[in-house]
Amino acid sequence: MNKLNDIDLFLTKAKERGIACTIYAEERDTVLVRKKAHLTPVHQIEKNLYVRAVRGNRAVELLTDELSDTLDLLENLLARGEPDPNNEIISPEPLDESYLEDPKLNPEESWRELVDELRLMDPSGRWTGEVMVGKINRSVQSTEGKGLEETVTLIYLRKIEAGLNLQEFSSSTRLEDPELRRVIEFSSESLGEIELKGEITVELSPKVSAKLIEKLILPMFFPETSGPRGTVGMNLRMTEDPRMQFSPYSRSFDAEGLRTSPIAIKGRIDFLTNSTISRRFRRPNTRSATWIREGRLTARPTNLRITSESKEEGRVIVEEIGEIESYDRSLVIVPIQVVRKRTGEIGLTYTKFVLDPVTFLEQTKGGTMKPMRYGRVTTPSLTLDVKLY
Amino acid sequence: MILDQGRKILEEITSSGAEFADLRAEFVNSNIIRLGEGIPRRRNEKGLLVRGLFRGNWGVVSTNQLDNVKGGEVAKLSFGDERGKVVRLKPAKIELSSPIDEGLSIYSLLQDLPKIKDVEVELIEEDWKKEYLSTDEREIEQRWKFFFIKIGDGEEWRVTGGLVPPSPEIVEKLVDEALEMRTMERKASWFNNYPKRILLTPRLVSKLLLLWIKTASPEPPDQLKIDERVGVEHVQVKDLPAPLSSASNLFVDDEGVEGRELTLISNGVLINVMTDRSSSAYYGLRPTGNGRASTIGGVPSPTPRNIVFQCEGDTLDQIEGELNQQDLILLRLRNVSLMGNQIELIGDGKIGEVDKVVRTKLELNLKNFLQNIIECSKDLYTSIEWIGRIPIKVTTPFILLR
Repeated sequence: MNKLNDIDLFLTKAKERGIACTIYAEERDTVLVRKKAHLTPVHQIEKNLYVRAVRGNRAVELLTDELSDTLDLLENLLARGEPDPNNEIISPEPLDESYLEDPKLNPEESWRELVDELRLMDPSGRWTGEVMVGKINRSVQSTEGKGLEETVTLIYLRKIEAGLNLQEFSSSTRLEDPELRRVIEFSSESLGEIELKGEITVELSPKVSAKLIEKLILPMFFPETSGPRGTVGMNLRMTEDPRMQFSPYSRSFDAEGLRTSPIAIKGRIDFLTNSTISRRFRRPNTRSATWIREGRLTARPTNLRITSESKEEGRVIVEEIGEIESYDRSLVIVPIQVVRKRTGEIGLTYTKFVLDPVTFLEQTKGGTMKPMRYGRVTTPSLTLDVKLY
Repeated sequence: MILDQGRKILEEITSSGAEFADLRAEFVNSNIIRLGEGIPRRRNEKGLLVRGLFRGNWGVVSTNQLDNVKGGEVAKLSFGDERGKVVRLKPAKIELSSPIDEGLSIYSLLQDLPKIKDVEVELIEEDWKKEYLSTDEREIEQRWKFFFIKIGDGEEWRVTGGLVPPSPEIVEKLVDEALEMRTMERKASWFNNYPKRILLTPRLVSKLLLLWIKTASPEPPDQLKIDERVGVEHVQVKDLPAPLSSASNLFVDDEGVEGRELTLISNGVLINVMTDRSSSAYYGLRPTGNGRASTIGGVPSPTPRNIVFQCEGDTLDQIEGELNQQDLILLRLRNVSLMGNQIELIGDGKIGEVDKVVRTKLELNLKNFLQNIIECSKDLYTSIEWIGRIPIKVTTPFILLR
């Protein structure tokens, strides 16, 4: 309550000076346990206040963790801003429902149990990985209307087989989520070697598909991206879904306090918007306002859900890929590390293919494996023709 | 000012049974202007990292809520049956501050700037204060202010910085370079032949060198191959304590360790690795002062500070003069993918003396890339690369690779 009182007082004083303001507050209380050479538990307690203030069409943005002495600072910054009629502070909407908190979760007990379940304390050192458990409280307060808040439970697991580059990961808002069991039960198999070359139809596992989509397709939704924006092909359906119950990336309201809802993506991918961006570019407000870490209010996707009616089988399933560092996303090399044959044989491979993200989005088809959630992306396996070299 | 409160926290941790404890507080105030956007931005950030080692088990609290940390909470977190150690240091009290002209501001630059179109320009000023305290009685305070300029040509940001804001002339020069790069890449056509030799710009050498350094500090450490030949005879790579005039200001690292000059590669042979206090104890080495956190209030890990890469060579003009049509000058990386030691690149460049822009795909063995050097330029160039929030100063020549 103390926090809300501080913010209320600040907003009242701002209004007295003629400043319209929205404050997005995020408080994180999580324990992150990382096992590399040693097991290190880190309790992370963080409170960030993201302030957007507008007066006379001039806007400023501020990231801070306390509001004392901030009004004078805002006044100074406002004097340096340039007028833009698109700058506005909008009224938040009332919260309809929020289901992202697991009321049964006791973070203090859960992280120890999950470290144990992932066998990160196994003296053989076979497993490394990460466990994160905690809660994030999000709220929006504004000079223009009543505020709203919600709590999101966050559970994140990663398990890595030391020595082999094999890993499984998942995040959720609920301990009982089967997607978490996938990580806990992950156990590597003995790997032979499989040689592959030439032109071939590959089926990318949901994990590999999600990695590629997160890296290559998600940025196409950012307003700042100047690179190519692809077109969703006939074989896929894509939805930006902020309301997925088990995803900790879900949110009932965006960073300006507007109620979120799923958006079906059809045809060419267009960038997402917030109130200012939508006015500036004369587009509908997609209610995707997001503060990014550098202290800028922009728009970002939450969860991307891919579905497909086609169930095309690939000659092999790509189970793991190597690291891709993409500087401009126009063309990437995808190194394949682990493949599984249709016969069930699994093995390491040393081959790669070149991928153009725009073509990937247009030509890929749904595969035979059911959808799974990895980070912000939920997808079935995806099948595409590639040339291996 | 955090130090008094910090002493109390360390006492609480020690009385809970810790054999070692330390804390680091950071305060960073930044002003940011993205040209043409008209929205001034400000970040007031702080972070506190408190660590305790209890019978070989770490407990750590990381927070920006400085008033809420209790030593007992750190003890409650320690967990497991680890055998963690930390290298102990002699007591020391150090205060470092770069000369700070409070009147200097990025806003003073704005009025003199020419109208800039087609590239994104971001001006940033950061005012840093770090305080460190440990149970081995090390007390360190550092303060500096730094100015960055980031130029984005639509896809990649290039960063430069200094103790004073960049002059309008420097901004114009960087903008011209970014525009030239954009024009160049629009003209690029695929080059499907394997070039005989590749000339890498210092920027690309910096990127590859940082990737190489990452692989040179393996976990587990039994894969560490000290005294192994990793480069041609005349390759020298050092990591220096960053001077106060550097963006990667780190005379003392994030664990209170004074930086020392560290020769990583001497005459082509790997002779040292970077360590933090924990990995030093693990390796049985003297700490190198490379414990750096990539976020404010984050946990430190071995990270470069100020890399200087040298090898004997000719002038750049001489090297370029010897190139022919089978050689490629690689100017920009579009994609890097790593598979073990094998590195695959897609990049844009020019073929030999012909002014034709090509896009090409190359394979390099990261482990051997320093062994394939044919020649280096005599002149060195400095750029700033980033790992999270940490700027890393990298000084390299142009290199011609086989």
